[in-house]
Amino acid sequence: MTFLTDQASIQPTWLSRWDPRWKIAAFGLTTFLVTLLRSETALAAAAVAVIALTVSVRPDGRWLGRRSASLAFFLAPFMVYLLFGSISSGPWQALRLALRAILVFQLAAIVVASTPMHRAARALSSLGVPRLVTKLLVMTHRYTVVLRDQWQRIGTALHTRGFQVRASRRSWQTMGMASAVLLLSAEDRAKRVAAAMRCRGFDGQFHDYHRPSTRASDVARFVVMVSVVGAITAFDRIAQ
Amino acid sequence: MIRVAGLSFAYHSGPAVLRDVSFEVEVGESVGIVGPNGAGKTTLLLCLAGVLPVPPGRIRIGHLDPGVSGDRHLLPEHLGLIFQNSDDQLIHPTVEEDVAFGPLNLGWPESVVRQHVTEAIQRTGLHGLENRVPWQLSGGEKRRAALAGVFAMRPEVLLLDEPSMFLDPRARKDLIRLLNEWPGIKLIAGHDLDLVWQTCRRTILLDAGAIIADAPSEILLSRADLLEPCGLEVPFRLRLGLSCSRDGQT
Repeated sequence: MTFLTDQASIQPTWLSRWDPRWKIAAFGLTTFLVTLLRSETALAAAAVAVIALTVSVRPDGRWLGRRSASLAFFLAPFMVYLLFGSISSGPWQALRLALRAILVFQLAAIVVASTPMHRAARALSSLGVPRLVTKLLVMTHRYTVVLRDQWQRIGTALHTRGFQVRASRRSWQTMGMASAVLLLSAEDRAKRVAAAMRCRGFDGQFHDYHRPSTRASDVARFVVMVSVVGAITAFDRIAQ
Repeated sequence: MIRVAGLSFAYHSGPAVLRDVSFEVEVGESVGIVGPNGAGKTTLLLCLAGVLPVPPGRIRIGHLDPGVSGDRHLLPEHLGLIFQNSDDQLIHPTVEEDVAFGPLNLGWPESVVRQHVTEAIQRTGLHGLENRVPWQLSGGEKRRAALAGVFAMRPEVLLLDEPSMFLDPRARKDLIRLLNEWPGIKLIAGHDLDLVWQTCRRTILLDAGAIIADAPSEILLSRADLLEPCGLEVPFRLRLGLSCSRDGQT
């Protein structure tokens, strides 16, 4: 099981050193502008820029490949409908949709591949997202890993006792029971985590240990990135 | 000091898990709480830590009563609890931030928090792992990170639930050293009687929620007639009759 938010080791690049607040703001604005693009030319120009960014972040090939495969799986039904349906401009619509989806996905993947989750959450908090939401995000990410490990252990235990997934009632019953065990243990763990937090004086308020700082280069990168995509969007609008 | 007087506890409407438990622990004392599975060891620690609701007047931790709501909020300043599974306790994305979690909750000034965090990390030998993700640490490192998180709060009382669980011999030895260096009151619950013998001067034997015996560890842990009916065994070192010191050196 893979999630977009699962992080491979983060390479030390200019993107990973970029203040996450400015980086997320720049990528957020860029994503918004990309969704406004209409022509294939403008989308292709944006794609070139995003590919250059992706190369510079040096993401783990397998990490990116798996997530791209998930995106392709998600897009497949839309592509089939547009390409083989009775819509006359279907192939061009399919191309535009695919390019937009790939661009949005790729921009998100770059942020995930260059920013540790806790820094991204802290940046989101600084950008006005309620702290409760960002902390829930971090803790969900943290315990998703624990629960996935537990699910894998349950799977191993089932296999070592001769269980194989088959299209049979008994097999689905077993999978249902295993899922129930996972959910119950998740609830139990949530209670223990809450108790452990209370024992360490938690009263509902999270306090920051590290305070972020902004350099001139962080702002400059933000300006350059938004300007480039803004220029492509303006060109696209004027050309139309 | 800790004073427990006539404490009984049951989950919801189930059978009693603790039955009329009474004992006292003096300042600086280390006490092992041993017993079979289901004896009530974890429940006792959770009651002491104010996690489970207890009636007022049954427990005193210094001047605080975990049965009183106002006192319960003040307990984390004085008492630290190490859970069986460190994954329940390590919630932050870096070791350093996790260690700082407790002190920040206590509202200490930033400079004091940083000083305590640095000291706790050094004391537990986590230097160099400050920026590591806690859930990617080994079992022993996780346990030390959990201990550092509690040490940084400088509690007078330390409660440990099965502290040697998931530890290899080296990590267990490190843990014993850390516990022996900690000057405050320690209550160590578990089945690892060797660890209890090496860290605690006194041991309480709990079975079916009631105290069966409360005696110096040398005496109680060598009494097969008391331990075996509770499903426990005399520690290996005592069985061999080795003249071991408490830090494990022969």
